[in-house]
Amino acid sequence: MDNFVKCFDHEVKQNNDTPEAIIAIQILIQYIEQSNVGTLQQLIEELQDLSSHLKIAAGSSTTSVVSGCDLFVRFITLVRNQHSEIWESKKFEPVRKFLLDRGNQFMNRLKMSRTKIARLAYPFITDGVTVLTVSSSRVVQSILSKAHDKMKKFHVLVTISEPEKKGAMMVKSLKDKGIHATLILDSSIGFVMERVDFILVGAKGVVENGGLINCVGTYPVAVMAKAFNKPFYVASESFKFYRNFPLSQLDLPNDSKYLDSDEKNHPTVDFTPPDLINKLFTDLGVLTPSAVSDELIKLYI
Amino acid sequence: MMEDGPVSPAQVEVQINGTQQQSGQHGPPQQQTGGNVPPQQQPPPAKTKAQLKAERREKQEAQRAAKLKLKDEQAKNPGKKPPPKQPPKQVNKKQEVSEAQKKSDGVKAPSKAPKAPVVDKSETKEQRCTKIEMFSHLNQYDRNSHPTNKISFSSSPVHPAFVKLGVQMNREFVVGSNGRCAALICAVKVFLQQYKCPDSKEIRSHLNAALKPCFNYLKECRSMSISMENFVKYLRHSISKIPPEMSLDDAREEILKEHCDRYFEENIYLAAKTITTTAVNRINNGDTILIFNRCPLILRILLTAKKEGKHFRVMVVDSRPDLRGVDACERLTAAGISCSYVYINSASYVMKEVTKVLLPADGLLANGYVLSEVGTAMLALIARKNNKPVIVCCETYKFSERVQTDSIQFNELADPDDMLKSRVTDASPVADWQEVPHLNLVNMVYDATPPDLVSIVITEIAELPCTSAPVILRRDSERRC
Repeated sequence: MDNFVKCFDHEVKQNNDTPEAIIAIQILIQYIEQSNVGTLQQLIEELQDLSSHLKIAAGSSTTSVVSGCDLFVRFITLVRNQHSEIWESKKFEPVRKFLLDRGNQFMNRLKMSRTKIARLAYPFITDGVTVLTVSSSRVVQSILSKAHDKMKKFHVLVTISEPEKKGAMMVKSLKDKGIHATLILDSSIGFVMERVDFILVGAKGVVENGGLINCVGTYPVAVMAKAFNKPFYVASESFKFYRNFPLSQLDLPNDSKYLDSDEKNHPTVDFTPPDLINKLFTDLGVLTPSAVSDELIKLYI
Repeated sequence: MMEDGPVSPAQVEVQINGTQQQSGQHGPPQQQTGGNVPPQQQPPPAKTKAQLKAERREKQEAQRAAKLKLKDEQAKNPGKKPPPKQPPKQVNKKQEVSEAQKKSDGVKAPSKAPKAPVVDKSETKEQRCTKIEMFSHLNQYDRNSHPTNKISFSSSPVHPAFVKLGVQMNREFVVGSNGRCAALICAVKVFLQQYKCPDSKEIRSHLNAALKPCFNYLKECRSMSISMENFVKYLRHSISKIPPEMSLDDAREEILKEHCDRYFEENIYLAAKTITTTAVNRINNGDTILIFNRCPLILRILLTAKKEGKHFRVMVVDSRPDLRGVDACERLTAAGISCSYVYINSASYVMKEVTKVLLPADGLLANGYVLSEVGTAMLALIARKNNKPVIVCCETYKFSERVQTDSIQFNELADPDDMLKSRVTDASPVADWQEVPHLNLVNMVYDATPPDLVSIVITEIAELPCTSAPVILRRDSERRC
């Protein structure tokens, strides 16, 4: 088990561009290949155990790792009623093979998710717009680069997102691609809001009612956007759909909120309610917040 | 059960025949002459068309005057029913609707739970039948007709179990959405145990046809709630799936055990348990929870949370005319939960102290509107404006395909005289409302809460946003096919 966690840490450090959840799912697939369990139930239990370890190792991306692993396990075990010859054979090998097939199917779909989202979302960026984004998100970057590749001229404002200052990294990578980007303070969003055309943010997790879990500072931006009547868009892969239903900021689990699960520290994420979100760009399509529940129900119930 | 209306079946007969006479007279002019004049005689050819027309007009005027006179007489003697305008075969459709729902105990076992009535309804009250324009499409309460008068003992009899149930619902011995559905399941089981199918007919069509007058009778006694409607739909569907070659005993066994018992078990009993577990997780230590009136499910959630050792306060909001919140308070304080009690008028005042609002539902409509007791929408609105989460608890069998955007489109009107009750004063200032010509009392039973006021709906399947109601309906209809 520990080997796998170490492997996960190593992979995350090496591949900055791949989402942590995808790396975690890859680790889970490797585990299925190498495990020597005899029954499906045992395998599911061990996978869940491994997921909880990976979650702790994931740091700030806990929600996406948790949701990704959960969805993965759900997806590979979902079609139990078909292919009955596999389930009746009393040997585990055909079952394992089946699960690996499904797992690889899932993985391939996931790897394409970012390109799919970019393809769906870039038409929303027209010539001459000013886009506001919060902190650093790879999905948003891929959308912006796609729009840039299609020869659109636009301006991006990125909030610096204290204390980790991840916004600075985002600005640097955008400038490297040739996109016109400016770094602004978190506190100056009120100042810039009148010039902004729409807000596009990434997500750490999307909850059941369509609400958003993202870096702390996203919620105030959403509230301001509502006050100024600016559209607020979220770009998120579908594996970040999380089966939680927070009613307030306090309902988020502690380990996703605070570093070291210590309440004395400042929170790292906040929760944006669904009525402040206009659209979600996902690999399942452009959705409204109420459709997130629909998608989750299809998979879980 | 004492009859309070002075109308007996014989009087109903007379009035129906009277209607026949009148509607015959209101018919097109050709029928008039045909009825009064023997068919062999021809009208005298000397009269011109204009003269004939004038004669007919005179006759019509005379009849109109006679009708107005009859109406005036009946307004003076409110004990008799006014002549109904429907075709004579149909019985008078004025339905008796009871007062606002009280919720009953005994959700666990499918047994009827009789309660002593608060008001002695055996007193005869002469009431003029007033109709308010805006609510004219809704069922208006009419105390004059007794539900059992509407039963005809001819070809389509109503089984005694349903007769009893109808009167119990009408007189409010059985109330509450879960309670009424459970009582209906009970009555259906009794009916099935005594049901016999003639050899020449198929069970499924005969059984459905036999149940139809029973359900119609129940609708006459009191409009069916969403829970009852959904059970009836389910029952009809499962009866229609019985293969024709199945024997009567097997079919009976199957419907009783498989459908009725399991429906109750899964949708009412176990669902309540699951909802309780999920909802209790939402209650944190230090919470102040606001509840409305008295609902067994909500009380169960609070009592279970207390048993699990959570520390919280409850704010009970009560509304007239029934003031059932007092019962709720008693039960909660008996369990050691500290309660505060307010009337709904002061809900906006206390909302600042509240952390969560917990509400029940009678039904969840396909566009996300929550149908519940009147007053619920108001509380949800006040909670929303104060940024307090509104939690609605509803079993999935209460999800309906109906769509409604306001509370008037579909509702029930209960007895207006219940609004005269008051704990403070003996006589209400509008006690003589029937004599005042332009005064009407309206006692609504339901109201519809829009989905943007509700934060979460807790069902036994999952915790959902309000807008996911059609998803569950779609999934259920897919599963059924």
